[in-house]
Amino acid sequence: MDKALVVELEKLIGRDAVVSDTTRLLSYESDALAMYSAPAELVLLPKDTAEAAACMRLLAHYDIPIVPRGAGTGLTGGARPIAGGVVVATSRMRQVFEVHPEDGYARVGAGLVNIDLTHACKSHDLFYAPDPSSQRACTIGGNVANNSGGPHGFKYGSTTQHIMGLVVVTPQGDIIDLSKPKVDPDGVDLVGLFVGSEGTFGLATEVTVKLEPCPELVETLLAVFTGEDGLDRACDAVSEIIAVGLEPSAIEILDSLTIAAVEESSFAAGYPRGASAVLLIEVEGTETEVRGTCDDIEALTRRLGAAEFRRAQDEVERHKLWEGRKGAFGAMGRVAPDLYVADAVVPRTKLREMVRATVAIAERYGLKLATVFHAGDGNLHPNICYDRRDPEETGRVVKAGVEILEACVKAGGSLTGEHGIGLEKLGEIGLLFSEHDLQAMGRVRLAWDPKLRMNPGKTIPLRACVELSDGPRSAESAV
Amino acid sequence: MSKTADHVLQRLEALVGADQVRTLPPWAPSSQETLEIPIAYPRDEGQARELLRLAESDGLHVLPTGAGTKIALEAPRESAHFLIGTEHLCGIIEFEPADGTLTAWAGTPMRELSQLAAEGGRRVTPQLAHTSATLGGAIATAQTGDDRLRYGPLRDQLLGLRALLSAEISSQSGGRLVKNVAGYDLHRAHCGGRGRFGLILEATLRLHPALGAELHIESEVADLQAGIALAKRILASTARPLNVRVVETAQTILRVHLGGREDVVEDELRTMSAICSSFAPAAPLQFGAPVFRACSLRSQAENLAAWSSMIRDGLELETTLVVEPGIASASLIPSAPIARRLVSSQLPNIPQGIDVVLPTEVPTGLSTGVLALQGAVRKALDPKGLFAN
Ligand SMILES: Cc1cc2nc3c(=O)[nH]c(=O)nc-3n(C[C@H](O)[C@H](O)[C@H](O)COP(=O)(O)OP(=O)(O)OC[C@H]3O[C@@H](n4cnc5c(N)ncnc54)[C@H](O)[C@@H]3O)c2cc1C
Repeated sequence: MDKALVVELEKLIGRDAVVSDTTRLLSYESDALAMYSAPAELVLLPKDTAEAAACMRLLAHYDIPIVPRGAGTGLTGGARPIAGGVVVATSRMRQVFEVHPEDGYARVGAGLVNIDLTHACKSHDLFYAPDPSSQRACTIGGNVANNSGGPHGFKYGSTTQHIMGLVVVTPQGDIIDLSKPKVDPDGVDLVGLFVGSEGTFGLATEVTVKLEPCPELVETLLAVFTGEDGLDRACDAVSEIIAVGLEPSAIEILDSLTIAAVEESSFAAGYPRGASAVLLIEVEGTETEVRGTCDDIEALTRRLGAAEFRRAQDEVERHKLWEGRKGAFGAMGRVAPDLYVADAVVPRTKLREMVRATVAIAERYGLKLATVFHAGDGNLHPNICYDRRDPEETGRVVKAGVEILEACVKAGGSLTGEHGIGLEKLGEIGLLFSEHDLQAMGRVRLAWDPKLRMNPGKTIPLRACVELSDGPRSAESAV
Repeated sequence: MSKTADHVLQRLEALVGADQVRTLPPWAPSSQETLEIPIAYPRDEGQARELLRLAESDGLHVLPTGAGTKIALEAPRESAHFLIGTEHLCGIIEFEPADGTLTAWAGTPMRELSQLAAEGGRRVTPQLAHTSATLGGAIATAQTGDDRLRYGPLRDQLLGLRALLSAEISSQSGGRLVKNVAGYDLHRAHCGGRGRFGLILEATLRLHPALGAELHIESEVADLQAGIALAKRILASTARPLNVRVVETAQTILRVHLGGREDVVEDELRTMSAICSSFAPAAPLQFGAPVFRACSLRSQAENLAAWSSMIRDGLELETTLVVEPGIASASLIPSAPIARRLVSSQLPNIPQGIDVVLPTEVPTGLSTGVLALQGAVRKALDPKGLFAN
């Protein structure tokens, strides 16, 4: 990296906020997709929009690629460079600028950690609905970029439904202020387009989020399935809950390997160890609504063979049940050193057959598969346990991952329900979209980033953009 | 009709057949929109592509149109050389009641979608007053239905769509699944894009479970502000109505639409009665298309209502004022259709915090940076500049 540039950047945001020594840079060379890594040349930690804009103007002047980064919990390689460039991280942008209880919104820094947002508005009896299982670490900016979901997305939807405004710094360093909360977009829906753009349109520095009123009552349920076909029956129960129109706020499935790992770990939630699958369900609303829905769900799951049905007796038990679910990926560390978290979606009528298909694929490749997923949305997470130090096994993991995606798309599903395309699924995006579709997306990307310097090599293939621009960036030529 | 329009008409007839081309008269008798404009109704996607090819080769601008129920919300017709009507691009492509999704051609009436969904134990939102409104038209004008308070805006229901950007280019984004983050959400631009970014061919909506019970109740209130105060109490209660409206004609009425599990609706009715003892059952309301609609944040609902009421008083028209404090929106519904311009020419300065959705088309108060980016995105979505702006 050009020394003069580093000095100029240090002048802009201070020496502490410019990471250039090799050891510190190591922590930015991958995200939670640990399988792949590449070093960043420099990491910048601006504290606000103005600093970010100043840095990005300078980087534009030097024509340097930029990789936005939140907490680095992404699972598709999105927050790391592919061939050099500068990482601009939001970890110092953790401000809560304002909370408006009556209008139900808050304006926060993009680096605010998801759970801290809910803490910040709790005193107003409000909460921020999107709750990725990584919510203790991931940032609101990262959630926006990936249009993240979470267990309660079943009721509340993904991040895009909760974003009312943004401040974006463009790759040229211009500030696009769309932070004023709007009931409906003013003209072209730039905010709606930005959400889910995976850091390829610009750097979000401030986010205006919609807040939800805390429900009057919440019940957490656990339906336990045993026996060889327990997982099948758990899937059928989910399909049936949806088909009959019951409306819980979350429906998650954990399989036997996940249950065992969780129960061995510090996240132990009291899931029955011998179970082949559990359904973790949450119901919210008024007392009448919650009681009625819980009774209906109990009757339905018992009819479909649940061996046990539990209702959390108090807040402590409720939290424990969720801690187990949210800590499941971490708990899997007991099974193998690494975990490949696949993310695909299938129609909710096909849960049983597609979960089976993923199990069969993993078996064929001789891999250990643990399944824990947002069943209510048809969002599968077949998690493959492996050791990345073993290249042969890693190769099998990659192949199995691709096969799982292909099978899901063939069944009418999608490549990703919440983690995004990033770097990981670039090769498969053609399974879903035609060249024309991708070119239309490429043109919109160029409208935001005419020189393709923002998170190059991610989300959509280079060819979809370069035909339309004046040429590829060097950093992208690898893709 | 001008000579050019005559020429366009002949070209259109040659492409889709004389029986599939009409000339639209000015929209309403009192309209100042005197422009007659040809409209062609392609029978299928192939013909739609041919029409766009014609536009490209002859340097014409087109404007897609559905049933014409939201004409006041379309991009101005004067900038289009011809319209493409989606009437024949209709039908169900995929309906998965158990999965809660419905994919249909853009010209399919929303009424048909609602009926089909109901047969499968599902509910389509938005529920629109205009039964002939089409799926594509509802999306292009980002219609707010009767049930937005409960289910959110149409953009939250839109799972994906496919649009023709030119004769050769069709563009799909999103998909047919309730959850999906693959690719950029271009459908978000089409939603509310007023037909300026392409001809929407098909779209998928998320469905909701059908309501076990439904109930409309109403009560007369002293005036608009009293109605809003009561509405706010209802909104602060544990009830989750589909709609809370203050409707002002000769009298002022507070109307609430409840729905859900039967026992929940009964509970909510008790809550409503505790808030306002004079609530009585009422028939569902059917409104025509508004000529004016503005919105704000919830804390501004009173100002919004007062300002909208002032606009109404200034118009020499018989209109009903409908205020929805929960979604902070106010609309003026004329007793007979009138033209957009009649209202736009009479709009005073817009106070801060209020956004006029209709009849203005041009966003207000946006910085030059935002406008430039919007322009660039618009160009990206309509690369050949075929669609009227
Ligand atoms: C244990 C675990 C559980 C998880 N559970 C879930 C889950 O339930 N649901 C879910 O959806 N995801 C989940 N994830 C994935 C991940 O946490 C989310 O994608 C999250 O939103 C990423 O946030 P982050 O701050 O870590 O972003 P990063 O990983 O740093 O970045 C993610 C992407 O966003 C871009 N980006 C980051 N910040 C910005 C910004 N300010 N402006 C523009 N672009 C930006 C990056 O370039 C990158 O492309 C999980 C991950 C882990 C490790």
